Amino acid sequence: MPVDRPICSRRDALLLGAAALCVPGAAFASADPPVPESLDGVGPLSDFTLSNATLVLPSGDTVVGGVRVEAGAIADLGPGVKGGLDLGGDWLAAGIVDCGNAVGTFEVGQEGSSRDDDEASAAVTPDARIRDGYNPLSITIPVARSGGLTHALVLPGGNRLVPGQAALVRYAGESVPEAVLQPSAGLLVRLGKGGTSGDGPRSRMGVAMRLRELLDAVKLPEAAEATEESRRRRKAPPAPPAPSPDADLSPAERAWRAVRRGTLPVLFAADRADDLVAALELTKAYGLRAVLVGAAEGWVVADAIAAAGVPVLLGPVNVQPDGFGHPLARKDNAARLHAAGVRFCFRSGDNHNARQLRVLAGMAVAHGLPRSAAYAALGAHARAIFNEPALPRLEVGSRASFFRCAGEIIQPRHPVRALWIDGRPVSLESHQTRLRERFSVLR
Amino acid sequence: MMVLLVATALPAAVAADLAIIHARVLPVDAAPIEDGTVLVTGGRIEAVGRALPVPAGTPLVVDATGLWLTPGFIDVHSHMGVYPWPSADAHADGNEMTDPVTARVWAGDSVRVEDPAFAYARAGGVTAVQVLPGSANLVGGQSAVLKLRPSRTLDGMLFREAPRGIKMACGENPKRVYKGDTDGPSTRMGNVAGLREAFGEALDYRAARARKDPPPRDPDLDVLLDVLDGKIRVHVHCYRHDDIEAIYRVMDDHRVQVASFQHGLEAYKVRDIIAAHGTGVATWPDWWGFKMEALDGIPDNARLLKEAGVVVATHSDSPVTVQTLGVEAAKLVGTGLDPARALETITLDPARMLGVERWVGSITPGKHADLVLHTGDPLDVTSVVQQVWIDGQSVYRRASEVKDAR
Repeated sequence: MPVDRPICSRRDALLLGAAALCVPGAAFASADPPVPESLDGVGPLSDFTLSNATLVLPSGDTVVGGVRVEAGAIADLGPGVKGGLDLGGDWLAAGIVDCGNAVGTFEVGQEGSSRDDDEASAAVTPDARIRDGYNPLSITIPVARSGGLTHALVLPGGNRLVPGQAALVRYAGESVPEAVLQPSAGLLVRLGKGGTSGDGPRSRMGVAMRLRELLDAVKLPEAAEATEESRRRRKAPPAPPAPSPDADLSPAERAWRAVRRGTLPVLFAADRADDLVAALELTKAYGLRAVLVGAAEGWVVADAIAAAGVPVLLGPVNVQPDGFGHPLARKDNAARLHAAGVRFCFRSGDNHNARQLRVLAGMAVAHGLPRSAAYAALGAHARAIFNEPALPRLEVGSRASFFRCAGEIIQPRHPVRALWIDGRPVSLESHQTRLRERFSVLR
Repeated sequence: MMVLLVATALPAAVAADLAIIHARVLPVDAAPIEDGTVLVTGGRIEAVGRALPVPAGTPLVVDATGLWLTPGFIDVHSHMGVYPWPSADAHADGNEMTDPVTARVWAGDSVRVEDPAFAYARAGGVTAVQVLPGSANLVGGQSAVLKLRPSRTLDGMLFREAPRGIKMACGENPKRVYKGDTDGPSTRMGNVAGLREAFGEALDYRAARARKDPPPRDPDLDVLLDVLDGKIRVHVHCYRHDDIEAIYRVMDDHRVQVASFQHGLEAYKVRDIIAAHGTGVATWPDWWGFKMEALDGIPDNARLLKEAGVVVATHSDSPVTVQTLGVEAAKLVGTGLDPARALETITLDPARMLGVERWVGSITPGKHADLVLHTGDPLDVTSVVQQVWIDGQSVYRRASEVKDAR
């Protein structure tokens, strides 16, 4: 568009008072695309009402009704809310929280020049934060949103013992500070063969040995009661870290101290049953605040996971018994974990196809997971697991982050039709929709 | 579901080995049939219709009330058997990476019949697959088209009627694999030149073989001559639309028909050219971005190709997604493709692509009785496969009803 307009400089604009003619970028425009109104696709904040929708409640139950949004939050919700935009029975669900993916950390899988997900300089990099490798303007983010995703736990990549710290993000905001809710949402620790690498341990023995060494080396000024303290804290939301004499520590030492204090959760990536048990053992021995990531063979030790009260970032749920890493993987894993009382939310583990998370949840339903449990594990459960009030739930008082879907949210045949984050409409335009438009008619 | 022995005498128009009754039948080549009956005789479909009389003495009658019946799903792009489970270095038998042209190799010679993935695919309603060599080489080798019959032998799995197929490749893979070799290829132009050279060598070889002192047999060139003579169906791994165009430049010169482009993520950009060539496209509904040549893949690719009249197969290239081809097809419905057309992409269209549509791909009298009974709409993600027949033989039945609280 700008190339069609009179090209004028900033000074011309001042002289002519013709700001409307001199859109930003016009003075520089050639083959550059027009500068969009917002780079992150997020529109202005306004109060609005949606009605006649099938609402997916935090419990996973559904009810026909409406939502009223005021100042970016859900002011009212339920069958009594009328008026505004009639959604004609379409589904409205809390934004999907992908509890473990790589969206925004690289553009192209096999292209190293586009990758910032793996700080492979050492086997143990506890102070590497994926927050620093996350690009909120990545082309992968609008595509993820097209699958109903509004938030995610971004995991650092790499098969190493300690790849670094995960970040909790929202898919809105043009800069990292705007997009990131929690820059240190947890420390990723890989068990099993995923924790081995050329410059680190080579076997499960070495993984356990090295982790004990790392955890034993942590100096805790508050001494012996620290373990008790963190145990107590695990039951309640952790208090914000107290001012402490940590200033003289290196960033890595600070990370480990936070782990021992239970203020930085440990995200144990583990799939095989023995690795899951190893994670539970370490959690107990060191009083860690732990979360399991993966859990392909979780069903084998479901009761132990439930008894430990450790939540699971489950998935990808279509994981197969295809190798030595998880030979007992089963399609009804999610159903069995649910039956055992394990608290979990779904993760895609993906980047470009993270948008299919809702379909993976549907596959868990095909293999015995109750529908309501699947819906809740796509969104509502994440808030408690990450102790993050800004994460979406379809309930009064929550941030207005939700999406409209043509039908049941787990069905691939039903496209996502609209999406809001914190009360703002978010465009579903992406690299892919632009290509579709460009080639819809061949010229 | 019940299996009944029918003792009551009915008028016997035809004899049948198996009758499936009261199913919602999706024949694919015809409109859906409520309260449908399918009669099977000698491994072939005998009759299809609404509430047909079941011949007296039919030994097996399956009451499919509430269930949906489709033809078996077909995956034209599989590496099951050539990269068998468990994934292991010693199991990498899919790419003969010793020369850019290995037309002589046949994927069947690598297939591990005991690959557990075959049973998982069967339980997902897949009854036939094309096992391909990988895409490291410009000419990777010949494919093996298999029926997923439970078998101790490869012989027991072969789809005997299927024509021969060969895998070729362009784009990033061959140029990456052979970058270190002095002979290359190391660029896209090198890829295309390499293919031209191979065909040229084959033609020279034919001329030389006709002379008095013929050169010794060359198994690669023998196969390439069969390609040039149109005796082998050509499946070309290609992502980018300019790669597709380049392949046509070579193939058109030699009047070689391209049966399909495999993956074809940018095929939508040249769908008119592909339609005019009568080439099919096998693709995913959603994979993109994993490499540069996959960056412009869009979910609407299959829909746009179908609308242009191209034969489109929803392929898996994966032992995972092959188990849920109905879900893959449902993703196309999400882009606006009609559900019946989406179902074609996992049944009749892949059969056409492999040249086996006379035998499989729809529930049509005379075709093989490759049938799948689903608990619901096969495009519903929550449906699962209840029972599978290949050549009229039951090869899978869901062990037990899943007790759930839905």
